[in-house]
Parts: sequence; C-alpha cells; structure tokens
Amino acid sequence: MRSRRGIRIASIAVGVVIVALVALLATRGSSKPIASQIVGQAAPNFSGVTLDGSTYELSRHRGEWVVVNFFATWCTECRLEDPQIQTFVTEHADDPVSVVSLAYSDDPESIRAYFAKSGATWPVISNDTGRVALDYGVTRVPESYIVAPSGLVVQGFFGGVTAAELDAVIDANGGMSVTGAGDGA
Amino acid sequence: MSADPTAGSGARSTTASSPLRVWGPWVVLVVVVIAVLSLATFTSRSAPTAADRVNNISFTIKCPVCAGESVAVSNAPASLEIRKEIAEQVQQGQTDEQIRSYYAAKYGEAILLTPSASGINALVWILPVVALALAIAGLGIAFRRWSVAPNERATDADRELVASAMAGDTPNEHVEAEPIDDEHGEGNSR
Amino acid sequence: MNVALGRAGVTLGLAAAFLGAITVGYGLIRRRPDLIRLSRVYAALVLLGGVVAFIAMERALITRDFTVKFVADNGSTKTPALYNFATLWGALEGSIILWSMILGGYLMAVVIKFRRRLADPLVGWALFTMLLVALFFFYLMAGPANPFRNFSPPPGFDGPGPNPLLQNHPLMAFHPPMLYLGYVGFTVPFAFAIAALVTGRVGEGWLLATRRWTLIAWGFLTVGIILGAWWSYEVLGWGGYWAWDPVENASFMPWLTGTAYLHSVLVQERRGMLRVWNISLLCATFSLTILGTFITRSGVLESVHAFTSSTIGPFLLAFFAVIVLATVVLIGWRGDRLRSPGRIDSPISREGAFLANNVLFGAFAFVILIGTVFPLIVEALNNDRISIGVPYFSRMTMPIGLSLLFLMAIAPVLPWRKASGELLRHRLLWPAWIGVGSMVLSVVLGARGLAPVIAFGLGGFAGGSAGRQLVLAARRQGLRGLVGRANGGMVVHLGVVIIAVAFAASSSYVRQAEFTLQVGQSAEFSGHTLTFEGTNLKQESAKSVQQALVRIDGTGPWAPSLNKFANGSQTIGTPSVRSTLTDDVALSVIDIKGTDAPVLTLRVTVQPLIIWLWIGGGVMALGTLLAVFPGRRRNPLDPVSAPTIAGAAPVPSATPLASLAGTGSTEPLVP
Repeated sequence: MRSRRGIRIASIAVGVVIVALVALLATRGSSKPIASQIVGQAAPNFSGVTLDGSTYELSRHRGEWVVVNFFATWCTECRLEDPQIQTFVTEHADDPVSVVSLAYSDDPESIRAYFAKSGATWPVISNDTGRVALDYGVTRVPESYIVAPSGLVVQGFFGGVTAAELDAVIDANGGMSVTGAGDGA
Repeated sequence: MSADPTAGSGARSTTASSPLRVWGPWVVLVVVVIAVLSLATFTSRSAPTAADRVNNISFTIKCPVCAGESVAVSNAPASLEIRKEIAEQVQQGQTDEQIRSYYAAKYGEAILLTPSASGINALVWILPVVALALAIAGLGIAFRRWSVAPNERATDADRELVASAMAGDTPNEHVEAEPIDDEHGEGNSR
Repeated sequence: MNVALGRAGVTLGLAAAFLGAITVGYGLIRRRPDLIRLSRVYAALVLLGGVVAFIAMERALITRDFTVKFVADNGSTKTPALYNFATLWGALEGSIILWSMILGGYLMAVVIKFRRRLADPLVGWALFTMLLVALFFFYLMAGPANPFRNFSPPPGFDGPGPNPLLQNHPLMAFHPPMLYLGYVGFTVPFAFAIAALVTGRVGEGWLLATRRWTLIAWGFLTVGIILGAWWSYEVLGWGGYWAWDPVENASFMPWLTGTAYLHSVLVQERRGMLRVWNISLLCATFSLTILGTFITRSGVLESVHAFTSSTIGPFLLAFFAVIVLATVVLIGWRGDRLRSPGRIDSPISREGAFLANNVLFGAFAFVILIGTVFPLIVEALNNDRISIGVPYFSRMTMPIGLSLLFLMAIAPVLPWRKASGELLRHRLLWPAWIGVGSMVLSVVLGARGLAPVIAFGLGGFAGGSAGRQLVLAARRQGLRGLVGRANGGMVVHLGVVIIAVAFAASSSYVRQAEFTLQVGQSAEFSGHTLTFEGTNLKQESAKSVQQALVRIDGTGPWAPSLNKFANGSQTIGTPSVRSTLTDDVALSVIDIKGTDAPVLTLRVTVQPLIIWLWIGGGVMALGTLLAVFPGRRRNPLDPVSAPTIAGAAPVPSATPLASLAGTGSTEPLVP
C-alpha cells in the first residue's frame, strides 16, 4: 500500500538523520574558548607601571627572551605557577631572559597584598592591562607567551607554566645564542 | 457590528448589500495600513548616533571570554576593552564591515555572532528556507491528491475485518470506538 | 546517615523500576492482568524511592552535612536557608534527584487516575514505558551521577556554596521545579503514544485519555520558560531576557513542537486525520526534552546556563538515541494502521489553519535546531569555528513569528471544512479595526521601523480575534464561556499576543549607554534622569556588597551592586531594575573607583514594555488553567464531520461541535 511504503521511507529517512545527529554530538568534545591567534606574530608592544613604581616597556627588552605572563590572584592555577616562575627567574638571573606579569581583571590592592606576601622579584604590572590582554588575545588566566629576542611570539601557554617547559621552548628555538645586545627598540 | 452570527450568511445570500458596503471598510483599512507603514518606515526617529553605531556593532561581536554573550551585553573586562576599541574605530570613520573584519582577522571567524554568507556557512541561511519551501510544496501536493482522490469505499476485506472484530476474536486488534476505550463510561476521558 | 538514607532511596527506586518493568512487561506479553495490575505497587515504590532520596539530600543540605560529597561541593554554612534548599537542583547530580522524584509522582498520578483500567493493555504498556524511563534516571543516580558519595571533611571545612549567580534571586527556587514538571510531564503522553503503537490501538482513545496531561505538562513548561527568562533578566545584569543561548533553545524546541501538537490533535479528534504526524510530534517533543537535558549537561555547547560539564553526557545521548529509534521503528511498523481515510477539503478552513500552524512551528523548531547545531557540523567538517548568535536567530525567526501572529488572528474564526470570503470578511472586520488601531496608536506614540509596527498591528488583529471569541462565548454561556479547552485557548492566545508585542517593542527599541558620574552628578538618557548619590558597603553572610545608590527620575534610591564572594572568586555584579508599565530602566555597575569621593561607571539600559512579558506569561498560565477546567461535557465518540459514505453531506451534531468551534453558538457551517 502506498502510504505504508511512504511511512516506511519517511521512518528510515528520519532514522538516518537522527543517527547522523547523534554521531555528530557524540564525537564533539567540550567546547573550547576562542584561542588567541598571536603565536607566530610580532609581540604587541605595551608599557605599564610596575608594583615598585618604575615603568616597564616591552620594546626596551628587544634582544632578550621575554615571558609575558597574564594572571589573577583569584585564580588558583595562577598561584600554583608562581613558584615555578620564581624558579625560572632565579635560574636565569644572569641571562638575557626576563619575565613580566600582567594582572587580568583584578584589583591593584589584592595584587599588592599578594606579592607582598609571596615576594616576586620580577616586574608585575597591576593597572590598565585590559588593552594589552586584548592585544594578546587572552581569554582566561593563567596564560603566558614567550617572545623571542627578535620580537616574535614563538609559543603560547594556555594554563600554568613550569620552569622546565619555558626552558624547553627557549632551547628549541635557538637558546641564548640568538640574543642580541639589549639595545632599546 | 452585529453580534448575531447568522447575519453573515444573510449578507451572502442577498444582493441587497452593495459592493461598496461590503468592501468599503476593508479598502479603508488597507489604505490606512499602507499609510501608517510608509510613515513608520520612511521617517526614522533620528539618524543613528555614534553611540548607537557602537552598540549595533557590539551586538554582533561575541565576547571572547564569555559563553556566547555579545560584547554589548557582557561586563567582562575583555568586552569593555573591545567596546572601547570599537568606539575609537567608529570615531576614526571605519565602516561596520571594516570593524567586523578586523576582529575576525584577530580572533577568527568564531568571534562574529553572525556567520558570513559564504561557503559552507551559507547553508545555515539557506536550509531553513529550503525546508519551509519543501513543507509548503508537500502540503500543496497533499491538497492536490486529496481533491482528486475518490473517497474510500468499503471493500469486502474491510467488512470481514469488522465482522470478526465485532465477534470478539482478537481482543487486541479492533476498530475504533470499541467500548474498551470508554469501558468505564468515563465519557470525555481526561 | 544521609548518605545511607539517600542510597537506600535510590536503590529502592532502581529496584522497583527494574522489577516493575519486568513484571508488567511479562504480564502484558503473557496476558496476565494480575501481574499488570501490580504496576501500582511498583509505581508507589518508585515514588517512595525518589521522595526518600530527595528528603535525604535536602536534609543534608539544610543541616550542612559535609560528609555528603554533593553538599561539600555545593553547600556552605554561609548560604541562606532558602538557597541551600534550592541548591539541590542547582548542580547536576541533585537535579537528577528532582527529576526522578517528579517522575515518580507522575507515575503514581497515572496509576491513580487510571486505577479502574490498570489491566487494560494500553494503560499497562504506558506504565511499562514510564517504568523504563524511571529505570534510566534512577540508574543515573545509582551510577554515573551519584549524589550520595561519602566525603571526610577536614576540621573547619566549609563548602564553596552554590555558584554565586544562583544565590542572587528567589526565582532560583521556582524556575527549575516548574521546568521539570513540564519536561517530565511529557513522559505521560509519550508513554501512552508508545502504548498505542505497541498495542495497535492507534485510534483516538489514547489521545483522549492523555489530553489534559499534555496540556498540564505544556502549561508547566510555558511557566518554567518564562520564569527562566525573568530570572535571567533580573540576575545576569545585561538587560536581556532571551539570548537564543543553546540551553534556552533546548527548552524552547520541545515547547514549539508541543504547541504544534496541541493544535493538530484537534484535527485528529475531529477528522481522524494526521495520526502519524501527531504521534511523531509527540515523540519528538519528548525526545527533544531529553536532547535538551543532554545539551545542558554535556558541555558540547557553551552556555551561561549550563551545568558544569560532567560525564553523564554520553548516557543521556544514548538514551535520546534509543528513544528516537524505538519511536521510528514502532511508527514504521504500525504505518498501515495509522493510515486514515479522511481528507481536507479546502486550505481555507480550520483544518488548513492547523496545518499551516504545524508547518510554521515546525519551521521555527527547525531554525532553532539548525542554528544551535550548525557550529558543531562546521567544526566536524572543516575544523573551523564559527558562532551563531542572536542576530541570526532574530532575523530568521521574525518572519515566522509574524506569520504565526497573522494565523492566530484568522484561525479562531475559520469554520471546519470550508470557509467563504463573506464569512471571513464579516467575522474579521472588528479584529481588523483593532489591529489597525493598535498600529496607528503605536506610530502616534513614536514607534518606527517596519517590522515592529507590523508586529503591533498583527498583535492587535490577533488579540481582537481572540477577544471576539471570548466575548461571544461569554454572552452565550456566561462565566462558563470562559472555561473549557477552546475558551481557555483564546485566553492563552491573548497572553501570547501580549508577549509578542512586548518582545517586539523591547528588542526593537532598546537603548543602552554608559556614564561616569561623581557623587551628586546627574545624567540624562532616553527620557530619564539618573543621579548618583553615593555608595554603601554591606557585609552579608556569604558576600560583601558594594552598592551604588542611584535615583531614577527622583525615585529610588536604586542600588545596583558589586558582590565579592567569600570564596575568593571574581566579583559579580547585581543589576537593579526599575519596572514600570511603560518601560524598564536597568542599572548595572561597571566600576566604582575610590572610597572617599567615589566615581561610578554605570551602564544604563532602557527597554520598553518589559513588564508585559511577565504579565503575558501570567495570562498564558491563567488560560491554561481555564482550559484544563472541564468545559462543556461532551462525548468524544459523537459523530463528527467526517464523511461516512462517499459523497454524503456531513451531519453536524449541534452542541458538541459548538464548544469545539469556540464560538459558543450554533453558527451554521457553510456547506
């Protein structure tokens, strides 16, 4: 009978579509946030006032490796990576390698209090960092970018960093031999 | 207006109502509608200000750190920064399209809340229209088939089926309106 | 103790569902009515299990019993009691407890309602299906989403409390239960549809038995969605109530198919037609509720409303697949029985209008589905990421919405079978005047823009048509003319019109701006004056609140605030909204700098007619109540207007048709 065949065909068609939909949904992982596209491009310059009152400018550090680190005191992972950053900074105290941390969506008082307790020996910028975060495409913290002496962003870390990871990236990209004399830009 | 519903059929059967009386009010209505709609479309309240333009563009850019909100509605610091940036670009005289392309280049297509109408993305605009067209076509075919197909006539096989069901052979296969549907006299069962 | 009690409840429910399904299933296959009747015992046990689990968890939450892992993850000594109670459904595992308890309740209700026909295979298979669904949800609680896990709290432990956004507003206590009452409620008609397919009794019996259940479930879903929109509006701080967010879409799709179903069953009742379509619609509605549950809990699509992602996604997806495939197979198998001999004579008729209604609602649901799922498709094919947001949905759904308004205006006055031009002209004249009048009024009041003004006109048209039906019914039957399915339906239509007009106004004419104000400074915006008066710092149990005191047009002071929560996460803003019948002014603090001479950065959003959204929702709820109330009693087995012999004229029976036609009068059907 015509309509029985029609209904059979319709059922099969619907079944196929549903199987396709289920397969699609089953193979998706959790949705990911919009990732930054800055890796491989020139590091956007920025400047700011650090906790101890001096002015920091990225372009003045052209010729060294710079780790640009975005953090917030309310983020647990950021707190966890701080000792690693401290280790890294101490390790490379005599090398043309430096770190700068920028606060992301945090208030200066909390940052001051936090670092007063933990003691950071690298520059921390706590104010007016919104535009910089936008330039680097930061979507959540902690997020860090390694800038080569040439000014290119070679790697991004989405999540906490360890000193070993940072060292690995520097070594893989030429190590200390690619640095120039630290002349200003 | 007469509340007496039978007046409707009365107007149909007599020729006493002139076409003017029957159609007059509707013509007036149509004229008024056209006039009002023209007024509404062609006299806008005011030209969009810069702030309005910033708003309109912001509604089409997704906040990169939120779950699907546009930068116009989100309070995240990234959104506030983007809004400031858009305001500056509007000030500089960039067009809406240029500003949108700038963000698409910076963050990827996913930052635009409206997919472009090119390539595979065009599907999302076309598919619903196609589906609707197919549904209407299907209805049209169904109506055509209904108006030509003759009404069903009872065949001998149908009569046998009814007879056997009424005789109570197979309790689980029966014709509609068999008492079990209202076994307990519940009437309009709720 | 709470863990043990809860686990006992879950185990009881699981065992009862499992054994019940086996017993009733066996009884149905072997035709043993005594076994089938045992369904009532098992239903009671499932309900008992769900209630015990619910009580156990609530007790743990209220007493802040941190030995229960769920409470340790979601409860806190600092959360006020009401929010602790509502925390049950604020996190994933607890929400399954609520779902299961409500399902147990519906099981028991079906058993009680159909107590005199428990041995009837139709009812038996329906209960069997419901027991299987209960089995799934209790299994989730026993295994993948177990809320009753032990935890040893270290001394001095305090939980983090629920998500800060879930502690802000009392609507948290109402929206999820209402929504679940709707979602779970659709299990009942679905179960009866399955039963009809399995037993082969696919006529109108199962439909009529579940008519009110469907309407009640639909009513709860409507109220749940509107409360959700209201809550988002009050809490999320961006002046929006509907963002076409995946979770919102997930709740809206079953509502759309459910509404289509409510209308097309009228065609099946009257003419015996559209059986396959109706069963498919109903099963689609239930399947979409499960799909929605999956989307909300799986993290596949990001949403501000989603639960934190978990591992139960695959289970829900598998359940969805099983349900849909079972339905498809059953319909394919019973296809021949579902064939009906009727036909629709003319597209300009009540039947034609309902068909158009279904096409439009189907298109609506399709647009939403494809807009929600398309980013996933593109990602799977191209590895590209795109977003589909508000602009897409607004543009695609607007023509559908306007067409639906137009249909709402003409359908109630269309007679069954065939209409003539004069009939329409006569009946629609006054509604048309009201429509044009509202259009003119809106333009006089300053509305511009083609789409909104058309919406206002069509809204008036549809409202006038619904009002006309109600007036005629009341004139004929007095107050009784306001109850019953048709008349309640007209009241619901009025509610929809109010919401449509409010939606058109608030989305087309929203204006938003930011101001930086010193203390004592004022700003003018969109016809309102805003004055910053100062700040205020309050310390509450779970948070410290910094309020900005702002006067709007001299009223107030209103206090939008920034909340810093004790568990150290980001600051959350709470907006403050002044609602009047004409518009809403929403204030949101962006920043407060300085303490002695504070400088406030404030965002102001002005939207007209927002409050009418909630009023319209109330009218829809009222209409549903009126529709559920028994109207004019009629025997559904009276002859209806289907031809009995080829070519013979239909025999309309007097009173029953009249109440269906909704006019309450014996308007002659034009032959």
